[in-house]
This record gives sequence, C-alpha cells and structure tokens, in this order.
Amino acid sequence: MSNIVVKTALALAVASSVALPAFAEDVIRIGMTPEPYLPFGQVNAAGEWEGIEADITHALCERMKVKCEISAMAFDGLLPALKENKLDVAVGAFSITDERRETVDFSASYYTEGTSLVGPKSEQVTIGTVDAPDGTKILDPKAFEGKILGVQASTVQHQYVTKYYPEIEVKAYDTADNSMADLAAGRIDFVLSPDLYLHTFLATPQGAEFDIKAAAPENKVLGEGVGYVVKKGDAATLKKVDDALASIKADGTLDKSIAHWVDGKK
Amino acid sequence: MDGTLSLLSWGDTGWSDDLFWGIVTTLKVSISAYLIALVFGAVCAVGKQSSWRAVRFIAGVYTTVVRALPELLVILLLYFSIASGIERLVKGFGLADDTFQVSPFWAAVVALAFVSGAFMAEVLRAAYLAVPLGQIEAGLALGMHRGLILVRIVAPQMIRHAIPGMGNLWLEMTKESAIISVLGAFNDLLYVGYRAAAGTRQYIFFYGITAVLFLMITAVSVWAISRIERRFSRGYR
Amino acid sequence: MDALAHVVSFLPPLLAAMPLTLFLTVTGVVFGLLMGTLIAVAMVYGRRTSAWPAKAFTFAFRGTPLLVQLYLIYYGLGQVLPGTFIRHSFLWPYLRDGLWYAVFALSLNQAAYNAEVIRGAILAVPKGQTEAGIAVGMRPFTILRRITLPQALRLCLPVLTSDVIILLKSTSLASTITIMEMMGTARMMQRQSLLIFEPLIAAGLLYFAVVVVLTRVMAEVERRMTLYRQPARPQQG
Repeated sequence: MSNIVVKTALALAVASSVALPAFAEDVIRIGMTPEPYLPFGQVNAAGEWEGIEADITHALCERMKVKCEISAMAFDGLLPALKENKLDVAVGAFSITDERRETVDFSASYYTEGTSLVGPKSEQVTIGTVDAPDGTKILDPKAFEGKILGVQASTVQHQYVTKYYPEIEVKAYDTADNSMADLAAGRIDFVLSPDLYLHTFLATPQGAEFDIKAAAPENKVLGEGVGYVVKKGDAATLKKVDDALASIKADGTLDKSIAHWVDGKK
Repeated sequence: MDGTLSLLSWGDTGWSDDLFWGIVTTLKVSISAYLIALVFGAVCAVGKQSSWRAVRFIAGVYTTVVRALPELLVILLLYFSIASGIERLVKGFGLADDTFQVSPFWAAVVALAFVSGAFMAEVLRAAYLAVPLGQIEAGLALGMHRGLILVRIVAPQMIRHAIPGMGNLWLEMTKESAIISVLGAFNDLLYVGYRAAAGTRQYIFFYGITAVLFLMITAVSVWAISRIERRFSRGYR
Repeated sequence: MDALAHVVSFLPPLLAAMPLTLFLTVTGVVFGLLMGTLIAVAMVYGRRTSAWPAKAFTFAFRGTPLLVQLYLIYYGLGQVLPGTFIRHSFLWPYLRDGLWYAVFALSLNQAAYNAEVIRGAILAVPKGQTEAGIAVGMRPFTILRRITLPQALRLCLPVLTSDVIILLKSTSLASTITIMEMMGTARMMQRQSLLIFEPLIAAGLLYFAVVVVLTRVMAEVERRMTLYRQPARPQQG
C-alpha cells in the first residue's frame, strides 16, 4: 500500500470532516428519555412509549410528513447531544426559559405547569415568600436552613435552587424517581419538582406520606411552559415542528392527550 | 409475598420478560464489544512489536492512557464522539447518504471495546512472548514465511497462555457492560432493573434479582472458561 | 482554541473534588485490606461454617458489577429506612449521605478481590515456614501473625498495588449516588455548560495524573517492602 495514497486519504478525511456538517434533510432525529416521568412519558412494562409526549411526538411526525428516528437517551444527555448535533429535536418536558434560549431554540409551548415543594406529611412547615435580590418573589430560604433539598439534575428546578439558594445543601439526582426514592428514605427533606410529576407521584401508595408544602411563585427561571427543543439556529426544523404543533392544537389532539394522561391520572 | 411474586410474571404486568430481554441485550453488547476488543487488542499488540518507533509509541499511548482512565469516563467520551466522528467521516467521503447515523448500540459497543482492547493487547502480547523463540526460529529455518509461522506455529501455542487473561477480560466485560445503563439508551440488564425498581419502588427486590442474574452470567462463564482451559491444556498436564 | 480554554476553566472545581476521590480510594484500600485478610484467613483455615460464607461472599462480590452493588446498597437500604428508629439515632448522619454507602460498597468489593489474591498468596508460602513455627512451639495464631501473613502479603504485593489503581478508577462510579467526587463534578459541569467533551477531558487529565503519581508511589512501596528480594548493589567505599 503506497504511503502517499494513505496520507492523501487521511488528509481528505480530515478536511471533509471539518468542512461538511452533518445534515439531516428528510429525517428528523428525535431524542427522548425513557426514564419514567409520567404524565409526560415513560416506557411501560410492554416496552412501549406512553404518555403525553409519546402521543404528541407520534402525531407530530405524521403531520410533518418526515421520517422520525427516535433514540432513547438519558435526560441529562439530551441537551448536550442536541448542542453537539447528534439530535435535531429533544423531547423531555423541557421548560422554556430565557437562559436556555441562549443556547437552544424552543417550539411553541404545549403545556404550562408550575413547580411545587413536596415533603413528608409529618413535617409541618409554612413557607412564605420573600423578595429575591432581582426583585422576583421566591420561597423563603429560611425554611430550608439546615435542611437538604433534592432536585432532578439539569432541570429548571435545579437552576432555580442554584440561583436563589446557593447556601442551602442541594442534592441533584439523575432521575426524578431517584429523588423521590431518597425523599421517601428521608435522606433529603424536600424535593422541588414540577407539578404534574408530583401529582402522579402523590397518587401512588409511596406518595401517601407526602404532601405539597408550597407552590413556588411564578418565576422566569422556572420556565414559561413546556416545549420541544431544537438546535439553535435550526429554523427549518423549528418551523416544521411549530406548524405540526399548531395543527395538533387546532384539531384538539393535544387536549385529548392531556385530558387522558393528566386527568385520568390525577 | 404473593404481590411481590406477581411482579415477576411474564408479559405486560410483570417484569420477567423485560429482565430476560435485558440479559439478552447485555450479552449482545458484551459479545460484540469483546470481539471488537479482540481486534483492537490484536492490532495494538502487533503495533507494540513493530519496528517503527512511531507505531510503538502510538500503541503505547493507547494502552497507558486507556488503562489509566475510569471506564465510565472513557465510555461517556467515546459514546458521543464516535458517532459524530464516524458520521462526519463517512458522509464526507460520500460513502453514505445524509440519513446515515451510527446507532447508539454500536457507539456504546465500540466505546466498551476500546477500553477492553487496551487490556486485551497486554494479554495477547504476554501470550505471544510466552511462545519460545526457538519455535519461530525453527519455522524460519524451514523456509516458512512469517504469516505461515504465525498461523501454524505461534497462534496455537499462544492460545493456551492467553486463555486465563482472556477469560478474565470476558468476565470484566459482562460486568462493565452494566455501565452503559448510565447512558439511559439501552435496555440492558441493569437499566431494566432500575426501571423495574423505580417503577415499583421495590429497590431491594429488583436490584437483588439483577445482582443474582449477573451472578448467573458469571457462573456460567466461569464454568465455560474452565472447560476451554482444560481443552487447550491437553498434553501439558 | 476555544475548547482548550474551556478545559482549563473546568480544572479548578475538579481539583477541589480530588480529595474526595482520594478519600474514597484510601478508605477502600484500608478497609478492603483488613476485611480481605480476615476473609482470606477464613477461607484457608476456617471450618465449614466460616469458610463457606467467606467463599460465597467473594463469589457474590466479584461476580456482580460494582454499579449493581452500589445501587443495591444505597437504594435498597433507603427503601427500608423510613419509619425505623435509625432516623433518630446517632447513625443517621452516616446513613443520610451517600458518602458512607460508597465507602461501604467500595470496601466490600475491594475486600472480595483482595481476599482471593491473599488466599492464593497464603497457600504459596512455603510449608516449611509453618512447620518451623510449629516445631518451635508457636500457637497457630502467632504463626499466622508473624510468619504466614507477612510473607503472603509480600508475595501478592504487585497484584494488590494494581488493585489500588483499579479502585481509584472505580471511585468514579460513586458519582451515580450523588457523590461529588471528580467524576460527579465533571458531570455536573457538563449539565451546567451543556458541553459534553470539555469537562470529561479535564477530568481525564486529572485522573491520568493521579494514576501516574499513584503508580509511582505504589512501585516505591513495593520496592521498600521487598528489599530483601532486590539484587544486591555494590557497596560504597
């Protein structure tokens, strides 16, 4: 094998890998997380995706008339993978926030939910709201002194506690279920979590010993609704997703799905 | 306990079939990664014996660096970079159209293989060096060319020395494949165990069963390896 | 290069997390060695009631992935904790944080591997040594303490030192149960910055450095403990 041939081939490979970005034209690569996170999504015992996001994503693919490749990925791997161009769309009940808008683009919101604090029923606490340095209202940090807060890593709740309660001990869990497991075990005192997930959890037998202590006041850090995430600047995909989303909203498919998963589960 | 046992039923309400497919996935990943690791290891072992200093250096860097880093770290790094790297190369060459995508399965398999390949190289190298030099010299004296010597003389004798090390690497591989559960993208045995445990909140039960199933894989492997060892030690005991 | 700047910026938090990694390693080594020796002695000299559980222990802990052991211990114990008195006892601070679970799991795992190695070494100590001890009138425990174990440990020192390196790398798995050692810190930085590679590369550099230093340290420890086996050096003057 000639040395020159090998060297030229290598040079071409390096040059082309730098020059050509990876495009997906008629295929949309979607990343979803199979971790149980009802009512948005999970993979059930039969191995099927189910939940609001499963329904909407399937409908979306139909309306967009493209081939959708859905790959499963851990929740906190979704946004980095999107950024590194391994995915076109990320689905994971992502809340729309300004901070995230700096690195990714969002579709229109398809659900709005709040954030609440959950803790054991045996602990009676009243948590008020105070003013934060930036003028917004936040939950009173005095209630958390000496306690341990749990959140799911990479979520807006995580950003919320890092921003407003830097002195409080916080444990970040890779999945929402694990944070609840430790709450049940008593290793953490409270968990800050999105409302819908909490409602599902509290309805289970293990959730019977917990209740919601406080609802976090609305805050931009906590997001303005849940939407699909698209790579920054990928206007083509974003438009496709938004158009399909609009059509799903218009004909009631979205509402039906929400009613089934949210109200059926409450 | 009845309620607990029902969790293990086959089919939609129980987790037994998921656990079964979890074992299958783990074995699929382990076997594929092991075979690819053999390739990586063989290439690297040959590289270490090379007369070109540059090749020896690269092979040395590979084994030193990969063996010094935690497997979790290497797998996370490679899982994301392999796919984009290969995709870019392949598309850049025009070998595949724009829809080509390295599947997560192969990205994880190659990542695992990359880690084990470094250890495999050392095992193969030690086995190769254990074959007495006189054997190779005799082959050369008879006029055999290097390739024939390798196949007819060195390889059969190498295998006997390599089996313990390779057997250990297989056992390591079956356990290391559990790390891919962190990627959250595959239904390998540990990930299924996690989903079952988290879904039913029966952590002790399902993680315990997962441990027992891994133990079974190990036990069967140990038995198989000792059989293979005995077969290849014929004539030496 | 932008990426390089990022990698460098990630180094300080990782350096701050290094003591925790080292703490996990050291406690794992110490407890693993102590427990491993006890278990090895039980396997070699014990009656069936103590030898059998010891063998089962090493089989179980070497046959299952460390990750499974970590999850089983951490979440399994967490499942039984609620409602018990433990939460109000002095033990609670230890059971609350993931750190001690990691120490426990790593120590048990290490103990199992050490036990097998030490067992082989005990059996490799020349029988004449033990017989001499009996002839002199030493009691069995004294023979063990003064003759067998010191020699056994020296025999298997190379394997034990490479096990220390493996333990150091395994501490990275503690990041899966909320412990912010080097790997956990790297993953947290991944989430905050949405950069996949740079935090991992920074962590990789540090792990590599630690392993290189640790390997040198272990080699020196080995040399000192086997001075009697080193080739004689010419005397000065």
